[in-house]
Amino acid sequence: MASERQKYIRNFSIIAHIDHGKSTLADRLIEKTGLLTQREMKDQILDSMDLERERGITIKLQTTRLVYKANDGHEYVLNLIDTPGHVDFTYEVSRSLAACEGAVLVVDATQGVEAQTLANVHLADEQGLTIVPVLNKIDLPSSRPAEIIAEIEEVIGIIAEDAPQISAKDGTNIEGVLEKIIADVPHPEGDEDAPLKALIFDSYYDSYKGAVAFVRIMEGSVKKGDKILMMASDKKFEVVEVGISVPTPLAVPELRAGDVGYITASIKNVKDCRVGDTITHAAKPTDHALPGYKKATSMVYCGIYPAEGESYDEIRDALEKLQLNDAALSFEPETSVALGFGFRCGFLGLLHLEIIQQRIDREFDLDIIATAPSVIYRVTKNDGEVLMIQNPSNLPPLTEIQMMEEPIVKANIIVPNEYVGNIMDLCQNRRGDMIHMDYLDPKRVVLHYELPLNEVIYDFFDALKSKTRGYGSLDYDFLEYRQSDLVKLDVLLNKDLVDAFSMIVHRTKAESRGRLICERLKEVIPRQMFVIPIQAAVGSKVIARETISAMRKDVLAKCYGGDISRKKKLLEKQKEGKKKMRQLGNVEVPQQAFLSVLKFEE
Amino acid sequence: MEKIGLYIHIPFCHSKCAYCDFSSYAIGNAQNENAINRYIRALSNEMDLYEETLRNVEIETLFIGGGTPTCIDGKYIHEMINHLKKISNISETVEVTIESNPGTITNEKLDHYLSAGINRFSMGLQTTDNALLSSIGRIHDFNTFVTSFRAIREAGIKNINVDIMFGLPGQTLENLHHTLDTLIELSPEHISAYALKLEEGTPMYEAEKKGLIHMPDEDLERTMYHIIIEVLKKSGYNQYEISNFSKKGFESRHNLVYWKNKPYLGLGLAAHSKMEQVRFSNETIMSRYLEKIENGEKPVIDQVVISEREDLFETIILGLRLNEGLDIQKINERYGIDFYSDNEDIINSLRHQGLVQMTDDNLKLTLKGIDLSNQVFLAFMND
Repeated sequence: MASERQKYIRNFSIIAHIDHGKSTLADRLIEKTGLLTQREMKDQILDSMDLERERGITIKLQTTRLVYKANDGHEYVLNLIDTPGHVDFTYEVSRSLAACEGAVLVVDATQGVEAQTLANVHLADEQGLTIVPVLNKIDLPSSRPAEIIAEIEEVIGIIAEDAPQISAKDGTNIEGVLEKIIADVPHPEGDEDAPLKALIFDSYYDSYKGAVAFVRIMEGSVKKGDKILMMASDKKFEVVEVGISVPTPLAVPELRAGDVGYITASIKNVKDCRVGDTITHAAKPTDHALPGYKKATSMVYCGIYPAEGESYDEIRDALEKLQLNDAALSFEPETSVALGFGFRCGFLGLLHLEIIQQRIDREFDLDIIATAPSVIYRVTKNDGEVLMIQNPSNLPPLTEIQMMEEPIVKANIIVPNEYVGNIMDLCQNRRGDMIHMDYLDPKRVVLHYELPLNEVIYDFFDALKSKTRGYGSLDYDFLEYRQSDLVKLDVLLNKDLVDAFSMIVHRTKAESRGRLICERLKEVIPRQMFVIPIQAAVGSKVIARETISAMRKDVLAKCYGGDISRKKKLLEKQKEGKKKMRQLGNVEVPQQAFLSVLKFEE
Repeated sequence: MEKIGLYIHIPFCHSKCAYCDFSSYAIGNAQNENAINRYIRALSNEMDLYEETLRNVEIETLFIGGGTPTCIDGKYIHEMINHLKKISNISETVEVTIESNPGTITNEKLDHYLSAGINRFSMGLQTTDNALLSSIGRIHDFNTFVTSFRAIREAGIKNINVDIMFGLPGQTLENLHHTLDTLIELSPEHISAYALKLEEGTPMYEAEKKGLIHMPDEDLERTMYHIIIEVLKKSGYNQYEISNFSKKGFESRHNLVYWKNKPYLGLGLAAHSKMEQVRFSNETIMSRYLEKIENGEKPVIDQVVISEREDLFETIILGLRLNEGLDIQKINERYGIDFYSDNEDIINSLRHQGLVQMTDDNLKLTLKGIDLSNQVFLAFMND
């Protein structure tokens, strides 16, 4: 039986395919409910990291509490729990959804259902959430609300006939969304007097408050001074503060069943505040912990090393700090012959990897070198020992290997039908197997493929976008390990093997990739004082070669009327450039070289 | 009394060359007397602003550069030098050079120059190929050059430098040989050979970016340079600096002031100076330059005090340009250091790479070191 208070609470997330307008809608909801005046609004306030705003995506979820006076005359508390919008972050989406009763599904009225629309609906279904469809971008002349409604009903199987038709951009019919949430999303239930049962759906580290847990109170209540127990980690703490996110933290006296808020308890170690854990009262614990979450599994690995002049310790500190907010990031120390001491880092996917690299650069101002990304290969040795290989350098000699297996993903690719041919070529080229193909509507097709993950992590998404003029969308899920004829492709620079460039590839791909890498490196490595051979090799067999000829000339222009300061400036610039180079053996390699080997599509 | 070099900048040309990014104004054929007059007056006023300095030093060399100093009326140059003589001490053996372009020299101008005491001419030939000359925006042709050269000779000038360029778009080895052979026949005392470098903002830079012209590749350009060294050597021209060659005793004393990192004062638009461990430079915009001087203010915009360390670095990179190299003994005395032991690792590594050599007590660039001189300079640069 819900309390009177609970009847006026709605907990919901917004889910959407990337670029369908999720963050813009969130902003409008905040604006509409008068939480902030328009003047105080930064665009897309929920995407608080600069990087998120720049890329137009949400990486780290945020929650905010809205207060809305509905047409029925009552005031409602709406807790909006934001979700990340990219295929890499499925795991975080499911976390947020577990704290809600409903999900607003934003569909772009010009684009229709996309790969992540389906993936996200699937996640919401799994959580048993009520889905509230909303058609966005109806201000655009190319919007087709009637067709898209039919598509949602047909493809997703939910009624969309009375879905609010809105424009988040210019604020049209935002009220319709709010009313619909109140009408359709069930209010929370849960006994407010039962023992405390709270789900941690997110956490972050604050240097003053310690670990901060974002919680959904399922049963009972919690207030300052309560002794709490983290059920999985079995650690006890005393609550320092409870509060709500508006979206800046605001302390409140108490959180009760149905509420969404945060708890701080001087938790020094973020590991004691694990996402998915259940918080209860130490003295009067609940009988059963909540089911929790699966741990996020890293799918993609790469080495991260300090660039010339950066320190290993600073990189470690940065990774540790990032991990506090991003449990999906894993890392451990490793050593490279070419690059020295660094870390092997695990990521949810390639976007996650890029984002972490950029955050290290922007938030910590550190120059790093990232090695070629790799998936985890399962290697069975002749003696029966099974190894999981994340770093190509750790691959045992081929003579000791009985069998190698690589991860395969199940990919759903949605494209306009005129691009089907292009995408079939792309997938074929990436060793994909087509399982089947469905028409979403007369113009759009879903291609179901099984693809090796190691083909997906190398700029597959970019290639998909460029081959479909930006209209293609992709979603994938791990399927299984499959035996494969794989080899280690090595790169030798001036006859020295550079382990940071090594990668595991399918045997049929070794030669073309080797050739491409040699060509790319020749383009980006500047001429030096001596001739530099670049070779790609499998085992001891060289399969591709390029040569960088020796520098013939490196001089300053004519000195005019004693203007030596200009010459010195030019030399200083040259010196700066040199400093940023990485010394591999006696070859100076620009940072760019490490990136250039990752892109395969022309 | 301290000896200095004096540089005076005349920022006027008939028209601007397509590769030029120096401070100069094209005045065309219609001489803009007012502007020239005002500038020359400003130059004299600027000399007055430095009167105290000039009274306490001896001018060893005077270089009137540009622009094209010979494109303005000879009386201006004459008056200016006369004014300078009044307020400064000029050495008995002073070297006075004027930069000149073919076709701008008349007998009347030569009279002025000689009576003013000019005893060295520096002429811009660049190449003997008329088509190449016009492609780089030079207004003269080869015959005009020869006429001007002879006129200067006949006036009694015994020290002439000719500038040539290599690495021009479309330039061939044949063309270069022809230029060298023809020039050697004229027998100037001094030859400077500069590689064309395209500077941002010049018409040639833009043309190259658009693919309208193609610069020769590094290999061809270096081959040209090596040919120049060889041919000139055979003809009795001693290479004494990366880009400079002369008959014995005709090294440019003014340029040696720069390369030996000795003091010099620059007057005029955008001129650079180094006096008593301070480097400074003048306004680069004409209106501001004039305005400051007319307000009785030195037209200096940038002023940097050079630390001992920086000064040493400058001495190294300038001195290494000279074929005699760095006189380590002199460096040690000048800076109170032990240059060789302080830089032993650097020197050994550069020797190992074939970039420098030691002869007697001098550190010099090898030919390879000249081609890759930046690599040597960078090695000596402090972090």
